[in-house]
Amino acid sequence: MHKEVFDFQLNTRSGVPAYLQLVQQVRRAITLGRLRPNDRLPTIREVVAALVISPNTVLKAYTHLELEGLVISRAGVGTYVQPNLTVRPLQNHSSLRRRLFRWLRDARAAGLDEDAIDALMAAARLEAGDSEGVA
Amino acid sequence: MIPAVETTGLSRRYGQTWALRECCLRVPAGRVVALVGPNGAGKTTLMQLVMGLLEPSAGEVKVFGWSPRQSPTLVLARVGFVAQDRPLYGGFTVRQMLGFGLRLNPRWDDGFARSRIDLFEIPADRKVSKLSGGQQAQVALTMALAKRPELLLLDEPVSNLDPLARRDFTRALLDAAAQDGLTVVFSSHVVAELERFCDYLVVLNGGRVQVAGELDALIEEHRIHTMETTTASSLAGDPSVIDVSPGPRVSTVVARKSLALGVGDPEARLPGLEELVLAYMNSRGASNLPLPVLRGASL
Amino acid sequence: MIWVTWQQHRFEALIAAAMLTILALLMLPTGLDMAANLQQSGLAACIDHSNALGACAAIREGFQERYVDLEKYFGITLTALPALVGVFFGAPLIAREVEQGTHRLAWTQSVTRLRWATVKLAAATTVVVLSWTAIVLLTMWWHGPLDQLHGGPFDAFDIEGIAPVSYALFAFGLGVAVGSIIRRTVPAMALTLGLFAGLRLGIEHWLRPEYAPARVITWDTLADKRPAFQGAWVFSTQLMDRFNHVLSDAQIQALFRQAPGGPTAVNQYLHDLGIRHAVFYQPADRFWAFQGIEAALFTVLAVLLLGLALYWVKRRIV
Repeated sequence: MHKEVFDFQLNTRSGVPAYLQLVQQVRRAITLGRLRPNDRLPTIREVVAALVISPNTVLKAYTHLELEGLVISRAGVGTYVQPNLTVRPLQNHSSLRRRLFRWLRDARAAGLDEDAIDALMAAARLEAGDSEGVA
Repeated sequence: MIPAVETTGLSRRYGQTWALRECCLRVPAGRVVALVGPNGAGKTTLMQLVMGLLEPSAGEVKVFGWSPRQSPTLVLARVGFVAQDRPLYGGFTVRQMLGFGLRLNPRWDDGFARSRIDLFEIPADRKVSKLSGGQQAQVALTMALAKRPELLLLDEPVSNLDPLARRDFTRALLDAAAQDGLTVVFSSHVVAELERFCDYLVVLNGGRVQVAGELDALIEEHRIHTMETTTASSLAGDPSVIDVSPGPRVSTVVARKSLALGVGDPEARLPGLEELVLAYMNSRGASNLPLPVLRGASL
Repeated sequence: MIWVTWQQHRFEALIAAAMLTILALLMLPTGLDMAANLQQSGLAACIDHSNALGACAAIREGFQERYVDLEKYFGITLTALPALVGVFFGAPLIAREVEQGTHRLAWTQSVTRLRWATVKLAAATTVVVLSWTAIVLLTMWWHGPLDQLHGGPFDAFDIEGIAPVSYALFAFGLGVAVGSIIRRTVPAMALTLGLFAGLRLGIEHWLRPEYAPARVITWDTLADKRPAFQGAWVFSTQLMDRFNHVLSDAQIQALFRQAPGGPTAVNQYLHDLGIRHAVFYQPADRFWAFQGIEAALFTVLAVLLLGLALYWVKRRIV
């Protein structure tokens, strides 16, 4: 069990709905190993106090995560990361990682700045049919 | 689930002027509702009708299924109200203000009220008129929350408060909402700060409801496009377009995502709350409500 | 709700209590003084001989002159006092609440506005009635010697008996009703004062003489003494011709233009024309009957006004 409770951040200008940001942060944390099975997520009240957002937004995020099978809510106790979750550690994507680094290096060498790289990524995502995170 | 607030054709007239017209709303329980609109749009009138302070000129309003004018004790006990300018008795001390609440509300939670006052370090024996604006706002909020309402109506509660006091107020409000599943209606003509903590939006303009719905869904239904002004002007009259802000070369178009020209625009982005609200307020006839109401909602 | 009423209005209540205490403190020594003087001067002893002349008349005049100012000042104060109830208690009661916007706080607690108003008005009305009864009792004690001097309390009709309590009640009801309708404290106070004065004096002047058929006494202009009207309420002194018609001001002016100069000659002149002095009065024994009628009249008005205020609060105020 981690000693600290997980910390949420909120970027109001990202164009991504608040509840989705919370969902993404939990997903990312699980993938990166910062949240492990059976870890307790902050209570709705704690998130509301920290971020000053609507309790419904937090509830929506947690419900979404529960439907994805990533967390489980125990009434009166709290919300926890699924104990049975098997997370493929990121290390197994080492070949993908290497290829990504090589591409980035090539793109920069070709004279693309960061904005151009972002634009290319967004266009590629759209083509590939990515439905989330429009901006 | 009984909606927290349901209005059907709700209207209110003062002499020849209609402050509110054909207002149809169905606010689900447990939401934090942003009620926005320019000054004089009818926000206060709507809240007063929900509270039973005013009688409708036409139509009806129901709070958790009850009519505020016909079942006043049932509604009054369940709804907390902080009116504009946060009225309090200036000559009372804070303690006496709580005593007032205790004697007039059967469901008053005095322990809760007193612990809130202590938490915000408000001196209980000071006269209300001698408190700062932020402290008065907290006292007014305490008065409304301590009667354990199921619905909380706040009419421009943070106007004239400095940003710090505003943040404290909102945080305290949301904490109470998180604890009790409270439905909150927060009216303001300053839209930007509401985006963060509201999840349901109602836009009032000229006494009519232009927009009503879940905030995330509403935002997801719309897109902001940047396109050449000549292209933008060809869109005039397209029902999917909400508002066009024309520039010399390039215009900003706020439209529903169903806009034919907008589909596949890689630059399209989701509107922020303020952009969405401004777009609707700039275009009087626009509404996100179903067509039959739209016909009645014309200028 | 009673606690709330007290909390909100305790400032006015305390000021009122202080003023009444001062009034009582002024009345006590002066009242005792008058009562003592009544005995010591011998007036009490000789006063039973009505129409007394000679020595008793002198004592009478002495007593009268000694206390004429006192009687006047206290009389005016006590007569005007009910107006203060309406202006400072009644008018602001609801007007100030609405003017300051606190009705949006008071009427959104868990109590209906009708109940809120009813309890407030009931509590305030009770206080007004009880305190005014005390004032009247004190006044009746204080005025006792003067009543004996005048042969009855009719001269002090406005400040003794049950009518004054009804005036206070009426003033209060009027203030509350005006305040509920106008909803601005200062204009409501002014209007209450005006309406109260108008109605109160109007009723006194035009209606009160008519509560029962007036009696008339006439006497010759040449007579050397007037009839005594111990304790009666004389409300009209006129000249009457031999057909029992009251002479109008115009007719009197015409007569006096034709009359010879000098008072004795004038009296002779009038006598020769058959014109007599006439006095319209209500006899002393009708005092309580008249008190009852006037009190009933003002009480009914008060109740109607309080009802109007409640109606306005329930249906007409935002």
